[in-house]
Amino acid sequence: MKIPRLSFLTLLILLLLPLAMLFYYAAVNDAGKVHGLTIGPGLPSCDVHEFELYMLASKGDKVSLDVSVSDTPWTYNVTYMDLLTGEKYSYIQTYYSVRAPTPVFIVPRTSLYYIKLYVSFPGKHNGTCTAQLTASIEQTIRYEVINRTPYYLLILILLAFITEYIIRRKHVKSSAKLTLFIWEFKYMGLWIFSLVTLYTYALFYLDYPSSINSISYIWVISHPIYFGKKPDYILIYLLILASMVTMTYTYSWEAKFDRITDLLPITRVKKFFVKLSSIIMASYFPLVFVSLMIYLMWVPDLVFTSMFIKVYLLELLHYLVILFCILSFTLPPAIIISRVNVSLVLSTIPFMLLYLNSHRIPREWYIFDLRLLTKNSQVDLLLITLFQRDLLKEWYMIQQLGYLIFYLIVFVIIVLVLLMIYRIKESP
Amino acid sequence: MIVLEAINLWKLFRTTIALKDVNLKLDKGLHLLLGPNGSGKTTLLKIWCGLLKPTRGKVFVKEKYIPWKQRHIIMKFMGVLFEDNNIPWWISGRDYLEFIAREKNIKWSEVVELAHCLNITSYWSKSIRSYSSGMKKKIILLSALIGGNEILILDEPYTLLDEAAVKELNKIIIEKKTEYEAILISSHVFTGIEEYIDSLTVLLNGKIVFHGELPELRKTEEILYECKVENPLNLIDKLYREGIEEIEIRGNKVYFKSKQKPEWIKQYECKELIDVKKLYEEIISYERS
Repeated sequence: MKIPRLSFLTLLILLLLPLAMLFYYAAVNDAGKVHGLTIGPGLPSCDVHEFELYMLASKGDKVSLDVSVSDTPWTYNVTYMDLLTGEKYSYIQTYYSVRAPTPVFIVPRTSLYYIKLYVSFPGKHNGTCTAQLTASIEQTIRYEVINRTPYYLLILILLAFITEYIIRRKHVKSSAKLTLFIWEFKYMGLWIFSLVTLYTYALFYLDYPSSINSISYIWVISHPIYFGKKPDYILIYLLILASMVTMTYTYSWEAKFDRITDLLPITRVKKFFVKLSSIIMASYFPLVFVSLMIYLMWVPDLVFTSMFIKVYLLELLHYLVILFCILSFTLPPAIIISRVNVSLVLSTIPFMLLYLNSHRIPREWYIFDLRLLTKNSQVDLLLITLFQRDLLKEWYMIQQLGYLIFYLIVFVIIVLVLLMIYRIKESP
Repeated sequence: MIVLEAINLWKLFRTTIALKDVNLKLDKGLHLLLGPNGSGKTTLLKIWCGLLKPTRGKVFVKEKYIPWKQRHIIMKFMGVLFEDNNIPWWISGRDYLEFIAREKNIKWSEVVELAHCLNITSYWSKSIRSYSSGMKKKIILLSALIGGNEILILDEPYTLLDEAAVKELNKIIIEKKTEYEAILISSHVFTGIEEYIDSLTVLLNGKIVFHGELPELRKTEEILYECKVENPLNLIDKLYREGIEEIEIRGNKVYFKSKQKPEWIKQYECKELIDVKKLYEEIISYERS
């Protein structure tokens, strides 16, 4: 029996099926995992100690706030607020020992929660008192994710059927640009890099968030997923991108595969930009896809709120800036140098060295501090500032925005210079 | 109309001179570019395709297009084959041809027809890595043949091809000669296509040492006649009487050379051929001496 040839696009959709299994596996196996965070002790004072926390929790998760103080008696006043519905849950108790068991909060619904805890020492106005908080969340089985997995599989299979049906029925009129995209993705194998980005990012999203994100003045227990960036994923992303860029520009040139596309009726400028946009598409959309899928499967109630959409768009913008920043380092050797081995080394090493040695860079060279791209979670911060403060009035945000804009400008300049080099190199 | 033109063309690769003051005009028809290795044939063709920029001088395609600036326009009507073309070895020949056909808006049935002629369909579904050099060459050749409908540039199309494939390719070129504005073949081997050319150009060390249109060549050169006859003896007898002794008989065809066209030749079914190989060898040996 002859097996019908499936289209490339259908195969690509079908290759996403294991992704659902990956989410399912994490939802079942991560049950019982405990995420913890310790804050304090702050300045020793017998005034009221105030702790603020944010957490993204799922239904059934058990949250406990373990407080230890230096003086007794003390009063514990905690409020959990569901930021999506505005519902509040409060508890007040006075204790007579320096460490006391506090009630466990079982999360009633999947949402983003704001926790405010006051520790006060009644009758004491002078002297030194300290208070330290250890917050922890025990993760439960994600039944919501488990229930949604079959639907996800079904949607993908249906999508594959529909795609195959449309492709077989409709003859899409080809344009030179589209043909070049097909060439880069299908024949030169960019789809492999796209798939690698998708799966490595999905693994990092599920496995690597340590549940804690500490920013100097706002504390977030991100659970079960982590808003924002995965600090060390940037190095894997760099390797994927460098390989992709080197293959598309240097290897194609060195192995003379470029000659095929040279003989197509397409201008050099278009060819340059089609190659570049193929790389951006192959590396950016997997991140969008994975993050969106995780949000949709794990916290769908949150996804459809306008606040989340704003935050998510900012998260996507952030991914784009990281991508542009890496491309600013990887593109020049790939275009200027015609040998793969040299180009690949030069594409990866400078960025890696700069990233890993960012802490040694003087503060005056702020723009070269690549860790700023990932270390501080702007998206977490945005999430919170969107709730409580005017985004643009935050000095930190303005600083971050300037940083992002700087990278965008650098990227545009680099691309324009490289375009000129590419044109000369194409027709020596 | 002049289809391909080079005016005072120079091309230097650092200190190496690849082309020296080349002036050439090619009209409609089938043109042959001959020359030993390193004579600058491929460089000249690459400049006409827009893959190289001239160091000095001017180059035009169809009198108005400047190749290195307007390659994207030229490639809409030009099919090109170069020896150093490469195809990804991990895809199949059919996939590659599908890609080219889609890009050039060629009906798949036309590709299949040509593929049958070149005997490609028997292996084109396999991955290119399993092909021999000749099989790969045929795929690249076919992509050039479907790549343009007005100008066809073939750089060394016969290397790596077997005898049957060479014959089939010549047949295709002769058929396409009327469809195309110009077909330019660069080669250093003689496969029989030279019998159908409209002009001959010889390059040596980057310089054009000979260029002649067919009518001119017929006037100046010794012409080889190919006559189809039922009884060769009658014709041989006539030729001996004319003093022509260098005669060759292959089946019912009689070949002989003469500087002047015999008047009685009209009685026979004869074709005028120019011995391009001999002419080329004479030119090269003269230039070298």
